[in-house]
Amino acid sequence: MKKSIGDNEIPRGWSFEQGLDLVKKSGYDGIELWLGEVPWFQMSTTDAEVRELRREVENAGLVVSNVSTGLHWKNSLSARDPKVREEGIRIVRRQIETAQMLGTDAILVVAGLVTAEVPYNEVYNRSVEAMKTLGPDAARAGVKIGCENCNSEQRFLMGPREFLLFLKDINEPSVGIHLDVGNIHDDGFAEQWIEMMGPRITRIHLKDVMKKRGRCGDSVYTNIFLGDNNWKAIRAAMTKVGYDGWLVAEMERRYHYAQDQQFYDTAAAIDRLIANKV
Amino acid sequence: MPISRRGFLGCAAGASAVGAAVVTGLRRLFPDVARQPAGCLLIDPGPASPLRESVAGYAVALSSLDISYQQTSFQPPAPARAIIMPGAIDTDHSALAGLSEHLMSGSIVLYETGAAFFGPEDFDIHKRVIRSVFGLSLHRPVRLWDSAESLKQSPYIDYHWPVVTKVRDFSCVVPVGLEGGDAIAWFQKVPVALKRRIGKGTLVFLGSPLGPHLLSADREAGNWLGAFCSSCCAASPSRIDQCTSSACVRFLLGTACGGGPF
Repeated sequence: MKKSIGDNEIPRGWSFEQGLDLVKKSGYDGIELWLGEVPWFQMSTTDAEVRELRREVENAGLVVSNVSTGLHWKNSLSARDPKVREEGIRIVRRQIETAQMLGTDAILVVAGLVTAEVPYNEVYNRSVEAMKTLGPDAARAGVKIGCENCNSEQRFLMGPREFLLFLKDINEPSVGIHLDVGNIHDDGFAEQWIEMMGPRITRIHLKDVMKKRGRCGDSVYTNIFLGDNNWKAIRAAMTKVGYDGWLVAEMERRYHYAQDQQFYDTAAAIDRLIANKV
Repeated sequence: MPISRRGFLGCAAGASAVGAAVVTGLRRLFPDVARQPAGCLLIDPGPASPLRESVAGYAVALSSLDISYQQTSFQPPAPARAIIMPGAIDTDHSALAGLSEHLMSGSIVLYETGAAFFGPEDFDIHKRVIRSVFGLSLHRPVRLWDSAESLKQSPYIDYHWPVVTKVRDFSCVVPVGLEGGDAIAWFQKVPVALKRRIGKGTLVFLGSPLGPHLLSADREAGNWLGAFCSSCCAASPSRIDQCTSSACVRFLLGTACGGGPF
């Protein structure tokens, strides 16, 4: 397995180059690029600039593990307004294009968003349709779309059986799950998701979750090994299903001081997870 | 043989395309026959409609109600006993004028406007066309989710005809004026749908889309459509009790319920 961390974790005010240096020094193999969340990688970033990003990543001795985005929280693929959905589709297509340019084969997409206004059944149908539309595009580009399980935030696809049914309804081999083991709060067990999703997992996001506390403070999330995830079981499930891909750190809770220290600490925690010394 | 929903929809789309081609061919070969009213026409508003999914919703719901229909993008449509226009975005007077003729000669037209997602300029054109052809006045779309009230309670649309039911909102509604028509649905105290006799026919105008709800298998929306189809038979009182789905099929095929609509 290989270690990666998002470029959106790079401390504010740091340049991309400084960030890459930190990522490399702290022991990661790759970097996850977040379209729309960092100044250097926006929808307006040109192809030439994207290729320059790849060059910088490779010069730092890293590779791009995957292309993610949070833009679909605003431009949901399941919105009622077709113009919003079109923009959502355009974002995924740009992710696919840039993934190819950056030399990676996976993207992360938040596939649907249930709200008080847009109910579950509508979201389900539109999300399936969107993925059916995009799946062939991704396949042609040699890229896998990983729909992230943002269980609580999306209010969508809350259980692994439901998620499997969703992927079955999409029925596109290029569409799978970008599994975030921290997003399964008090409504399940990450290890069971890993077992059930198996070969459909495109990437794994790592963070820990304080299941019992809920979102009572500024975040329900915490650093790996600090929360309530059963990391022994998670590691065993990875072995069981033969997952040997990227483990991508997504630390939503940031250190208040010495922010670069979080990169080192997280890398060390992932090393122990990979080595099964939990 | 089991068939997946996707397979079914694919077949249905293919069948619709084939059906439309057959109708076109028949029209050329038998112009007199082509002038005879068909059963139920489902008009596809085309890719420009912001409510494209609505036509898919009606197609699925009509199929599940066992009601035969032809899906077509003909504009103006051919004569038919019932014409359903989901997500309609008409901004062209001449296209709707043909529809008006069918209304005059006895068609039932279910017109679901797609204008709630229009920009102001397109909406104004649509409003003028609807006024000119149907004599209806439309008011600017109202966003239902901008008020604090909407966060306390889902803004349902209250239908009072052809069945009393509540259907979920679809974010925006187009309020309608009541000149010459009977309101059939309200959002709070604002009329958002009406029916109106035009000539021998009846126009049912929906300012809040039902099609997307039909696509997501909303039970109340399905009940409304089922009741609407049954009401197509209700003009002849002796047949009211026979207005099951199969009776509707015969009606919509022009083989039963010979009385005028509504």
